[in-house]
Amino acid sequence: MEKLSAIDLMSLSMQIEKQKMETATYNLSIINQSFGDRMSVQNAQKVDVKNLPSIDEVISGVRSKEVQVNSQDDGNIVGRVVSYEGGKPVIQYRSDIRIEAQMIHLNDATRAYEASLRLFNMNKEMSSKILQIGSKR
Amino acid sequence: MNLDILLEEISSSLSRLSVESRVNNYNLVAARLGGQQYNVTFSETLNAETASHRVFNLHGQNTEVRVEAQEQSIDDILLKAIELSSQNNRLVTLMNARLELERMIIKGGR
Repeated sequence: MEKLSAIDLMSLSMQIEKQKMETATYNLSIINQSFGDRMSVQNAQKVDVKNLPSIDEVISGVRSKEVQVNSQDDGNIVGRVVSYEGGKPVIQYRSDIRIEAQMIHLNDATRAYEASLRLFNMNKEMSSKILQIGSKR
Repeated sequence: MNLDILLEEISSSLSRLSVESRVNNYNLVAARLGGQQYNVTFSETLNAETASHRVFNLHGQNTEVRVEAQEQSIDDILLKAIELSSQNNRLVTLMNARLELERMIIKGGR
């Protein structure tokens, strides 16, 4: 049983958003990679969060399990690309990742990270303000 | 108002703000993960001891803390955080002003 504060929750939120940014960046990096056979194609990734605290845990301020944030295969579709080498058609395979969708994910994650940071700072200020109770100005 | 009662009231209000702040932050995480968001409301007679007791009685007949599912946008969450922060500052300022008054009374009594 660990304590769960508002600051911990924002720290978790920033961790999730960071992972989402890394995942979108990875997906964008493999977008143009082509392979000779279907099995070699690298899959797109997505963020998976396990053991997210329940609302009961949030209200009581105690969490029972450690939250796990990981990237895992998205189970994406493999697309075929036909190119011509010396006038002969060559079939290559690549992960079917849409650049616009990944850019939107990246932008969303950046904005959400900023929002989390803002809330983190607000909570930090609230905590430090409470410590001022009883202090002489 | 008696200082003891005031202290108790402020302590109770601060713990209420703390719970609201946690739920508000949870809503941001839940919004990004596509989970359920909640709104928490309190009855006027909340104190810190009963707040933790409620957890074991979420779906029961508890009148101290009420939690209901409510969809919220990130803007709403940020505005709520500003409101909570403002309430928190107000309480601390009030408490400090009252303590300053008590100090003056003690000084005047000498």
